[in-house]
Amino acid sequence: MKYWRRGGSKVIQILLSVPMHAWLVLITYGFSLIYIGYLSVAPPSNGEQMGGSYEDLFKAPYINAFITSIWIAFLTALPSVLLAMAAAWVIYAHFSSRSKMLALLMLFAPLLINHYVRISAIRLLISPNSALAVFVGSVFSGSAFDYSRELLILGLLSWTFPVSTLILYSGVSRIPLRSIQAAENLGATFINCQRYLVIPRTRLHATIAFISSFSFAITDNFSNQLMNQNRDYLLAGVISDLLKMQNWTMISILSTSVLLLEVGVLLLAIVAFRMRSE
Amino acid sequence: MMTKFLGTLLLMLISVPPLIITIIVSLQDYGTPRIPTIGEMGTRWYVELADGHLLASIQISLKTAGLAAILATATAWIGAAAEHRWKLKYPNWLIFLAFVPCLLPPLILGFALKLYFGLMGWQDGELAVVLAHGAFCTPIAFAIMRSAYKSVRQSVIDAAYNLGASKVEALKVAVIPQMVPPFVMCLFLTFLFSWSEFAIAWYIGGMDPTFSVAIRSRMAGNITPEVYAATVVSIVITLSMLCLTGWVVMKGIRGIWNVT
Repeated sequence: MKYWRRGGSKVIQILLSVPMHAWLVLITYGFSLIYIGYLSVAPPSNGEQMGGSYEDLFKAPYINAFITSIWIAFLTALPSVLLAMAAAWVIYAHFSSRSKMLALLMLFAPLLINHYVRISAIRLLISPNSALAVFVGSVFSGSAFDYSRELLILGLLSWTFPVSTLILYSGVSRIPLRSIQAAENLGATFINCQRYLVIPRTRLHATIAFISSFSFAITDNFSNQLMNQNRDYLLAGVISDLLKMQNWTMISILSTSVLLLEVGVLLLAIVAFRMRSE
Repeated sequence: MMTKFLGTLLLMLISVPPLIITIIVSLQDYGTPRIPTIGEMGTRWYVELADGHLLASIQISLKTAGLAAILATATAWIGAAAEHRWKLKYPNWLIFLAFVPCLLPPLILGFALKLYFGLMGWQDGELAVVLAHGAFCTPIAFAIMRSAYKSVRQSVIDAAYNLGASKVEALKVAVIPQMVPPFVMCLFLTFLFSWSEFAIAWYIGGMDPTFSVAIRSRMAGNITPEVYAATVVSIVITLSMLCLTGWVVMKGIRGIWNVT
């Protein structure tokens, strides 16, 4: 009877938990991140044409690219999580089980298309000469869908929104449907349901969705090229240029700074959750 | 009703237009991507695709994404089993360590892995892509397998024991049928993530570009509808795999273990 229940030998426990963590930490990301952290402070090797230091990070063009990239990534991640939270809630609480399957499949559909092709397809749909652009331009005077930062965010959202919704759906689906029905019977509005039911129980999922969206947005260069015509010089563009110059030190400095920023956001979120729960 | 309608509309707006436009643009005879009229439609780019390098990159991606999905799912399955059955001493830290790769920007992870693999003397190429994508997809697989273990219904297992099942029989009729759907979903989702990942594969792919890298290289120069045709082929392959896997799983569960 105890076959599936918790408990058992400590040796088996260690043997089972070691492979995944050893694989991740030792073989792949752990040592590689420590290595770029080391490169960011080590003197440049002979093969490198240029070096760099953390002080350079506060000089142009790095500081401008860094701040613009963070701002655009934030403007992408925030609406992505908010929209995803609402979408996950609507799918879970208001769709029948068959519709839920269909809705989740529809969320998968954009992920089936390569990100670059998807961005190009969206660009074709909203190109200045498209029927949609002509229609929107006739309703709101001016040239519709010109290259802009807003379009860049739209392009980034085409990837981050479905992924965030899938992450948040796994959190929302843990809320018992009876609680939702009870809240709605007692007259809770959509906003109240989000505030008192969804947000408190999906804070961790929301943080993961936010950081995933932020991570993707901060280093995507192609959307900037196609939707914004490279009008903003972003971090991914800087890294791409530094790669051509084989300046590993400066790339390591930029990468380590982004990672430290993300770790900071994550730690802040964890501290905020703990303070709230206490 | 209004909420449901708005939700459906939002999902339709996000998922359907790129899919339809990709298919329409691939069906034309012109040299530049644009939305064709009915008279301009043709299959020229599908014919050219058969002779091109994009088909080879699709084959490479199928291989690397498949192997990375198996690697990620297998390691995550073992990790999730350990996390579920035993109370680990520092579970939160171990879980955090497992989730780190999905919080890292792929561009940075790719750069770090390229330098690290170079330091270790490992060659760039398909094996490096499999290893890197395996690591990149493991957190996603771990999240799915964790929730799969949590959703296993103990009452079904207890019922099997009450009906006289041995440990092996209980595993076969009560545990595995509950674990198979999330397991297959995990394989498929990790496959998709590896399939569409670009930055890591670009850094460490070497001379054999994956489909994403090949597409990105084409888009840096003159974009032709061949890229769209290749995407449609890849969508058909992926959807076929999804349907085939679903069919095999359902047939397996019903036929072999006689569970409905």
